[in-house]
Amino acid sequence: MMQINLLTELVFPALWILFFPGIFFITFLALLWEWMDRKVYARLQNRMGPLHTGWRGILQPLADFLKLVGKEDLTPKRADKRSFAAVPVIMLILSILLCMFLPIVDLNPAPGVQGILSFEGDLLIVLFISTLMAILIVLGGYFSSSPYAQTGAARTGMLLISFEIPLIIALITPAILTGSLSISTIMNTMLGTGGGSGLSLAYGWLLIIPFIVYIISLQAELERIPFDVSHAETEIVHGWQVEYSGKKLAMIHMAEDILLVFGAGMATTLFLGGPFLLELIPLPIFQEFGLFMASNWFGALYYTLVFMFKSALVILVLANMRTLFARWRIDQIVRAGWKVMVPIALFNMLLIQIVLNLVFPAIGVV
Amino acid sequence: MMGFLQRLINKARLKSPYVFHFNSGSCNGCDIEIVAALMPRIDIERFGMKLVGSPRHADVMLVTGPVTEQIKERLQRIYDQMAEPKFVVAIGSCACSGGVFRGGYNVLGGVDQAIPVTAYIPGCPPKPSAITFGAYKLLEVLAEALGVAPPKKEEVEKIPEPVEVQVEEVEA
Ligand code: SF4
Repeated sequence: MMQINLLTELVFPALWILFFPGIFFITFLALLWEWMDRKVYARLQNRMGPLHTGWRGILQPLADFLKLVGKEDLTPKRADKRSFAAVPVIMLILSILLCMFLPIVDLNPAPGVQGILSFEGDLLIVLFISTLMAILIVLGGYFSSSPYAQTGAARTGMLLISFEIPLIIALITPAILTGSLSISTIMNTMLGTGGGSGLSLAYGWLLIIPFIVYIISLQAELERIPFDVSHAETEIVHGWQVEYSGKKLAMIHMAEDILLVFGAGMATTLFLGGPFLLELIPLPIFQEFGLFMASNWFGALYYTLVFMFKSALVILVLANMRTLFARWRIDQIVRAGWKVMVPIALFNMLLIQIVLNLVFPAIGVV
Repeated sequence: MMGFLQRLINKARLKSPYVFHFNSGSCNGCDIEIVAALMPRIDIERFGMKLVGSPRHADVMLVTGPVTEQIKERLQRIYDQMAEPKFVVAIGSCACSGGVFRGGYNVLGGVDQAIPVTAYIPGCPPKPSAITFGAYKLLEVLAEALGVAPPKKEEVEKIPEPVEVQVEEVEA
């Protein structure tokens, strides 16, 4: 008896956190998404992209990571040594922690799929950590004591201050609609998985503007083109990362990739319906399919694949944005942030309040 | 276990050289050709090469142009800033030997007068395909030094067919 308890209470959760939807799986997704991003980017530019590392270059991000791990690790003489070394480690840990909140699969999915970590109010923690990442980036630039890194850090600060607010407003819109602050509960309440009937489809229209705002702010948070002033190669070498090399750079790259997984995963969870696809079709056969998946081990595979499929769509959109635009100047970015994105996000909040309180009761949407 | 990891890392080194471009007084002809090697026709990202901005991130430094007395110090400093293992490729006749500028009062000659060079790619300027070939030679040398199998030759020579681009007729 004792042994069985050990198995179910210690070994399974440990494997859960370490391997399957946990650290190992998230790292795998990070490498996969980076490959996809590079490949789509290259194909849209009529290039081939990585080709000779594994099948179609699928191992390229892994090769980059291993190579960087094996390289010499330099610390500038004037840098603040301990803090300089601490920044990449903390970035990596925090980004993995962020991914733990994503509901991907669950050991017991009947009452709705939950994240590895999930409690009331975790949306606030997630927003807090994502702001912390911005501060870490600025610190990373300042600790390396290089003029390029400090310029990059200052630019990053400007960029993230402008786009943090629309991002937060976009992310709490689903929370307003469902009246919960837990990511998994928001998703399950919206979809009606795990008991309850779910919100009616009319609510979906309210999520369109926040979704667009979120995608644009996400691109800015990840410092990708067109928002890459903070590491503009032609002006300030490589921005705040300029002095990092070897293992530290490997960790920073990995943290960026994991943040990409997190960003796409958040979009999937809060706006695109999480790891559910066929259950959402209101036909009896699909309802039964959903119950079947929720009750056995096939579910784990199915939920993972659906989650990956939806995140891949988000990555596709992000890669498209990266190809289509050129880098904006700082003043253009700040203006776009404060004069366009913030007003749109605030206006959307107002719209939602009006619709929820006046329009929906009038036309009889529950 | 350590040996296995080391072999894996050596393999990865061959597959993902990050390149960094340094202009030590070139006329810009070679620089344009390097950019052309990144373009759709001969996309060197196929071999995992990526152009990075910072010498700290780079494995390979591409140097174009003759080394003048003035640039020598900067070139050496930038070389010192790169993390081991590092390699230098001299691109263009100027970087190989001084080229047309050889014998000038302030021209030292090729890049090898200032820092150790692993591969030379002559030409004024070298074709993008020559640059790719030089990169392949560098990978071969690297493979020998690290004791891993070099990339297959067919892989390198297989340049993808250029895609037909429809140019719209512009009415006069
Ligand atoms: S080799 Fe020719 S193209 Fe290249 S820098 Fe020298 S003169 Fe210019």
